[in-house]
Amino acid sequence: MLRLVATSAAPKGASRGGPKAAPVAAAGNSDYVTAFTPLLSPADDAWYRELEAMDGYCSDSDPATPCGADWIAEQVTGTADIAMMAIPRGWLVKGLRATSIIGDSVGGGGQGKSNVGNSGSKPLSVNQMNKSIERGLAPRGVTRVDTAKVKGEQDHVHFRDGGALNRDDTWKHGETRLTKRQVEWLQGNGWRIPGE
Amino acid sequence: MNRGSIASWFARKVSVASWDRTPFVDSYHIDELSIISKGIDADISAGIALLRKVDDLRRSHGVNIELKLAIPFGVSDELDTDPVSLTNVVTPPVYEPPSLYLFGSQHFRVPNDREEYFCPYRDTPWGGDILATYSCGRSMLDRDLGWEFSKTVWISLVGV
Repeated sequence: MLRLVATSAAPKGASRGGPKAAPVAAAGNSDYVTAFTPLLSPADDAWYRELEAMDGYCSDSDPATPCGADWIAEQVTGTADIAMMAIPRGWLVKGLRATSIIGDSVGGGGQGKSNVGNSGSKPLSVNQMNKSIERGLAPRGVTRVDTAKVKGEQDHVHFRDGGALNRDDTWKHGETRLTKRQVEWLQGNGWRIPGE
Repeated sequence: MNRGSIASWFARKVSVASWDRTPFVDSYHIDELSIISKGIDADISAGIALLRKVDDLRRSHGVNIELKLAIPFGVSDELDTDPVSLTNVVTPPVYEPPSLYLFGSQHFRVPNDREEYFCPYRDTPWGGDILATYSCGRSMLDRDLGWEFSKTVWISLVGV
């Protein structure tokens, strides 16, 4: 069964990185339309491709100023099957593949119109995580993921500052301060996070 | 890393780990030991030189550990029983520098919990005192999830 998660785009004029706005589209604000996009998980390649496809097509303050995939990622929460984003009317979202733009109201009514063919989430293997890194789809600062090669060793992920985190949340070397996206990416792929 | 630095690193390692009492294993990529990665061929040579240096230190410390150098050769969807070439080394798509492994004396007394294939090489291009073994394997978690096998060549010194 598909689950909808309402997320919000910042109202016009809002600054990037500021407090998140309420889901304005859900409130029936006619200045906004609602975009649906399928999610497998925050770690899924396709999902990041969707977000990156939006890069250059929307802005939180000015349609001429692209907002980055990072900013969009902050607006999308959880590992739901569908992310529902409120997009200010008139902003270009044509580059968003597999996304349906529906009217002003939400309330789940747009579900049938969304182009959703994927549901559920599956963690990526180490090899798939490395492919994500190679394609620039993984969070910044993650440099490589290595498989365990002997008993007693664990898969581990390397960060740009030299830290390396084991799958069970212990540090193999160093200790990196993880970003929100890194945490989501790793958790979405079945990794445990220190302190969580 | 110069010999002095490696000696300091090794002295710290053997002073903190219970090498004789637990099935301990630790590993370091060569670039984590201050060797600048210069591609697979150069890294293998640097890794073997490192293995020899650390083996000298192991002997001088009289510590009962086993040393191996692991050269990763990427992954395969199937259990690949065809050992990779050591004379015409091909860099895998995702390059992971070789790693120095330190095994406690109890490590090999604990049953292996991996799905794994091993095949020794009859000879190697790196000298008569080098033993090389090809392995292709994965953890049981990888097996449960249908994930790939990783291919590795393990290098050790004869008589170690």
